[in-house]
Amino acid sequence: MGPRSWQMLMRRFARTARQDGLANALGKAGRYLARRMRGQGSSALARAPEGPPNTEAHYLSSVWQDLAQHNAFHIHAAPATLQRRRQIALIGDLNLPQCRKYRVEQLAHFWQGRGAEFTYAHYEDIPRATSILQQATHLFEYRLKCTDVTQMLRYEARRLRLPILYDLDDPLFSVSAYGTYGNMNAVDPALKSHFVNEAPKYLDMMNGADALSVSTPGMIVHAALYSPRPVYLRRNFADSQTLDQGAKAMNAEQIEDGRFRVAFASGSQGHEADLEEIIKELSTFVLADPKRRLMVMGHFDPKALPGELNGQIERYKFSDYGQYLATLAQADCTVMPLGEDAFNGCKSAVRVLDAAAVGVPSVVGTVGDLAAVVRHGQTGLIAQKPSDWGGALEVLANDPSQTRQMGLAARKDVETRWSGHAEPHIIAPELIRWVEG
Amino acid sequence: MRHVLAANVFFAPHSYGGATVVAEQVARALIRRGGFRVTAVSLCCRAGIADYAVLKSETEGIANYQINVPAWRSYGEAYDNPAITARIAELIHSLSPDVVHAHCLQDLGTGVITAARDQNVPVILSVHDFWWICERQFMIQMDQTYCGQDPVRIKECKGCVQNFWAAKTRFEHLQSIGNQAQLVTYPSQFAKNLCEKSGFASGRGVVWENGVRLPEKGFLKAQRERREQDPRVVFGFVGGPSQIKGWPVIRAAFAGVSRADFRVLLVDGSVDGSWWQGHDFFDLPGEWEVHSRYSQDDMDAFFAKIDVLFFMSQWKETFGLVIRAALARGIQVIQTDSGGSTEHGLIAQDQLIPIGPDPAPLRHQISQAIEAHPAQQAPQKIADFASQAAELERLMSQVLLEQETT
Repeated sequence: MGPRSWQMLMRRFARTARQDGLANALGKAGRYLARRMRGQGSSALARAPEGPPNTEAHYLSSVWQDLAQHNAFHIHAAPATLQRRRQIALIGDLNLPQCRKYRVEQLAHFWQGRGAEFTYAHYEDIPRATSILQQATHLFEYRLKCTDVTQMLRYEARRLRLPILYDLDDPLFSVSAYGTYGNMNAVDPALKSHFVNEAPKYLDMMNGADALSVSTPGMIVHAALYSPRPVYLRRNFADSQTLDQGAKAMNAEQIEDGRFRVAFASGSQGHEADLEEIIKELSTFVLADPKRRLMVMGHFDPKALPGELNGQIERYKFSDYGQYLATLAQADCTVMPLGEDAFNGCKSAVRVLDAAAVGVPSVVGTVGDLAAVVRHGQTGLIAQKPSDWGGALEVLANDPSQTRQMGLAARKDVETRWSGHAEPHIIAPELIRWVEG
Repeated sequence: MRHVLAANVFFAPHSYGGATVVAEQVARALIRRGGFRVTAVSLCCRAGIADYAVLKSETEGIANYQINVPAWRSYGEAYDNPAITARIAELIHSLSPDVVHAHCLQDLGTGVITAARDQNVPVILSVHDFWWICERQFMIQMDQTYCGQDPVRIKECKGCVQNFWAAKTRFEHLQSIGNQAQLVTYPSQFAKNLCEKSGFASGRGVVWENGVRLPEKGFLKAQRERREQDPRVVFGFVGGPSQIKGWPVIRAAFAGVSRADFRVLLVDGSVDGSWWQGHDFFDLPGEWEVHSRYSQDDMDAFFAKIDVLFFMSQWKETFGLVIRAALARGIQVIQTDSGGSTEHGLIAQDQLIPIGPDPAPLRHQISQAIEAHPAQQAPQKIADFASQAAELERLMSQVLLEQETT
């Protein structure tokens, strides 16, 4: 600071001291010098007299009060009525990689492909979740249960006049589904109780939305037992990541050892009960030829496998998606049995899509949505009853060339029919209109 | 329907300052004209919300996206803040306005203009003060005296600015950004001349005079009733006890007035009512009272209480809304020869009080006012916000036409 600056400052200090008192002048001088030393710019903005919120769920409390007091709380026109451009904010539980892929990232690509903006946030990232709401035209909620935080976020969405779609791919809201879910027998009973106790919190969240979207027709039927909201179908599909990594896995060098490999993949705990559905037929099939192998991938309790299979089992640990596809590509076919219960009746065909992406045909049953993706005899086989599984596997094992052709046809199907086009078997037209209309 | 994105550091629900009054009132007047939708972007500063988070509010049909800035910001961020620019770019992208109307960009930064330019949205920049040519915004030096440069030459700012090289960088940056606005408006010829002579946005400027809120139907009745109840002359002063607003001159002038049959209302314009705390007037003649800040809605109620308005700025202001609001209500104005604030042309040059510490000319006019009582002064014809908005619509059409043809 030059002499002219000091002179002016001293003149100001003297005047302030004269007019407002020495203490006041010293205080102002101190604040000024501190600001200068910190390199802080001058500003017309005064900081609002508020501290940090007491809890995360109170993040917006002071803002709401302030806006209400200034008669600025309500947004009178829904943003979707004012602008043609759609801006979707998705707030969800993004902890599970598979769920994030199929219900969040796929959706982002789908809507971005239609010209909409799509941003998403984990519900516990409150600053981001709150921020993406502000410019949104629509809110999608994924897999959220009713908590103080989710209620705060929804309250803000309602303040902003956003239509709300609630999306779910498992019947987390359903006591009747969890109460009869066979896979729950393999987990701690306390965990099962936990899921049952949580179900009302999911249902509460669903019923507070304007519309629901779910992943399978079975889930539509089941959700309608619980909620009066309109329920739309949005199936999981094979996205560019699946197709690209699948092609890469197909093109990688395959094991040529003359063995016939049947894969069973498990992405979470409890799927021992599913394999149990066909283990007798499967064991008979594998043991009938020493060149046959059962590939068990992911989470699985080895004690659930018959001891006589030991010499013909190949185990693969749960891995990332690329490695999973690369391993799956080594199989000749996959089996995807599901026990018949309400929970499994809601299951989607993502594992069929994964297998098809690497050119491997699937053998599926009639439970869940898996059979919808398989063209029997062309891209895989559908076992109508438990006793059909062994015969189906024999068909595939006895004609390896035809089996490979089935796999390639399955791959072509995912590229053309199951790759996320806006067609009614992927996404309900009503849902597209709900957003774009 | 044309969509205007109005950018101003403050905007309802958090309003502060004359430029904000103009930004808000013109926006509302545009909507009333029909065919316009207005959205605002402004700032807030809240400790409880994440830095640079956006909060949407709405007042009188105008959605306002407030960007929350941290309390500590650097010198450079006061005129160019990348985090704010990013938020504004997102807003422009999602809102797709036809035009950006940039008002006071201090703290918002010049990113408002560059973000609009990047998305091919034309910008009308309305200058309300000297922020674009002076880092201290009002050309008031650290010792609270008027700078007086005409034109402003940045090298002459040495010794006044915090850091000359930082100030020079700022000055040159703002000069270059000014040229990116399609049109630059000024509230007075004085402001336009000084900015353009100083090298700011030459050839892009027009004078776009501010309107004011005109009196409502009941104003004259309220004024008459007050005068019937208490015939004493009432003087009003809107501002704080600062040298630059002329308080020392006012005080010195009243100290020498021989009569005491008058009242004085001092309006505290601060948000927290702190400006006049600790001040007393027992040594002055007449009855003195501090009046709380008034809103546009309360304006008539305030002006109905006074007969004479002081506007004693010791610097050259760009406009002076309060003067025109007073003249529109038949309130006598005693003012200094303060730049653009005199361009209403309703006070003779020899009645304008020279800027300076001499209290005698003011004391003389105070004595005259007490003697004559200006009760019969007729309201003057002053432009309102509706006519200001109409002129803006014309300017906007011109800008949009130029945009289409280039």
